[in-house]
Amino acid sequence: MITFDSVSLRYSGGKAALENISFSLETGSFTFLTGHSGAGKSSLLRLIARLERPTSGRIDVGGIDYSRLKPRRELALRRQMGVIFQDNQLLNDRNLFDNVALPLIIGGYGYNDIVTRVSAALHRVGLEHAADMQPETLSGGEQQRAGIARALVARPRLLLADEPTGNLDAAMSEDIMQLLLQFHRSGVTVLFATHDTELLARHRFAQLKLAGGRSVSPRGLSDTSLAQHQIPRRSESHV
Amino acid sequence: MSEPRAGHRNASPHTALTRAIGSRMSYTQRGYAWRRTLARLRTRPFASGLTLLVLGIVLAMPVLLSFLAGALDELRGNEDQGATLTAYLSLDVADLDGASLATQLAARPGIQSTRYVSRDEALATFRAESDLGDALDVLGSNPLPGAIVIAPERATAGRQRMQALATEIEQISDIERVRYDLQWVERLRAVVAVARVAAALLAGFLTLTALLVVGNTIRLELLDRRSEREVSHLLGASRSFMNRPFVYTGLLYGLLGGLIATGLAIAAFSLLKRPADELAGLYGAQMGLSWPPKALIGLIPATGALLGLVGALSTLYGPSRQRIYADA
Ligand SMILES: Nc1ncnc2c1ncn2[C@@H]1O[C@H](COP(=O)(O)OP(=O)(O)O)[C@@H](O)[C@H]1O
Ligand SMILES: [Mg+2]
Repeated sequence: MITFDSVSLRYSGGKAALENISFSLETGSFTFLTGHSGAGKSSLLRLIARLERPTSGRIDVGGIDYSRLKPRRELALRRQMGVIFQDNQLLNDRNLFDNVALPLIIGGYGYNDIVTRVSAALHRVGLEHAADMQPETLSGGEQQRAGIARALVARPRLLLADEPTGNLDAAMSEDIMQLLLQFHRSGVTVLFATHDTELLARHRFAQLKLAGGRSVSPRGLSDTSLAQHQIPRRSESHV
Repeated sequence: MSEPRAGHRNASPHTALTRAIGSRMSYTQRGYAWRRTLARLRTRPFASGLTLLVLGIVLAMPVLLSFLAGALDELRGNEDQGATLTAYLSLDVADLDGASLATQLAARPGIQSTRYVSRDEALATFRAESDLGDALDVLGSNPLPGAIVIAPERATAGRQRMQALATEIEQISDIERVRYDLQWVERLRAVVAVARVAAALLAGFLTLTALLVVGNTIRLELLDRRSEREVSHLLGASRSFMNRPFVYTGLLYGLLGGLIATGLAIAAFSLLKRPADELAGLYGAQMGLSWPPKALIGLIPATGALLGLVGALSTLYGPSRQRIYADA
């Protein structure tokens, strides 16, 4: 699904954020992207989302060679992936329903389709009852779940999560993790950036480790089948 | 987890959904852009209102000026009919000779009609129109000469020809001096010319000002709505999708500003009409300020909308546009 071949990224005027990164992720896999703050996790996700271009190296996602991507296709590609951030980036000038509907409006979906999909997405993250609320009136965990609903409402095949539990306590983090696992089980490929050691200890998926912009995973991580996960008990408390 | 929440736990999911969903229109791409535009306008009514007022004034000024210049010009149009030559006769010319000279002159080419004003008539008029009438009695005799008022043919009208006609008539031996009352017309002509240039210049400056006002408003909006643009970009929105609400904002500001300008122009025009008509009366013109045609008035909001559109587009796509992303 995702292949990086000797990819480097240097921001203009800065030192290299990523250096000579190579890895490959299978379709349908669940992978943690780990490393300390500043290791290059966000940069790597931004490369996949085509928000940055590599300084050198080759990126291939879903069989599409990024170096040959036309600008028009770039937008379509971005619409085919879901992205979640630590700061959920919900828009406070509209209610939850309209926040989750945004990707569908951008995608040009019809009204009935939008109503059906947004309702279903809100239902799946357990926020149907809050559809008419403004995001800022929700708890952190609820906001993050709304972010997940927005990322997944267009039914992408790939989900990029950039420290989505970074601002949450352990129980809520687990709650989010369970939600992502649910989507993973329904076939979505997930790349989950985090440095939450508790979470990593509980869920033993493959890890792509970064340190100072370099890959420090054993053997560059090409085999994701090493992910041996025990599904943890659902945490008792939730948002 | 104990954050205050507005008791939505009790709300039934279904009613929450029903309440949350906007109109069918607002989920189309264009409908979405309009909805965002109007929502923004509503959330900051004071700032928006102020901007609109500034735009309205800026758009109303050149409109008023050009109307006024046009009205002055119309005044000037009447000048030539009103303009006459007055030939003053020597004091010793008898009434009979004066009258026959007037008849002779009337037959000349380039002259439409003449009227002889006798010395007595001149005195009577002077007494009637001036407080100095009694002073004349002290003199004992009538100091006023007879005169012939000459109305030139229309074709003779105009500064050059009037001048030529005056010189020609002045050659006649009984005629002492010819005066023609064109100075005020000349002055008015000059004033109108200056007013026209000033109106054009001002219209140019104010148009530029309108563009800058709209451009600046859009720039502030862009900064204010940065997160919306970032999120949309992330979700795969095209540049035109992200820019559309701002284009609509410019269009709306221009249109509303133009409507305000129309109101201001009409109000100012009504206020000016009476004094202007009086002024016209003083200059002997029948016509005063006439209302500009309706089509012209309808053009103001349209022009405003166009300026708003251009202001927005040049901000969004022009050389000074803010690049939120390298590729956007
Ligand atoms: N837009 C940017 N411009 C310049 N340098 C950046 C930018 N974004 C990130 N960096 C730098 O790149 C490195 C990796 O950052 P990042 O990818 O955000 O790491 P992480 O997400 O793991 O914390 C850091 O040294 C950071 O300072
Ligand atoms: Mg980061």
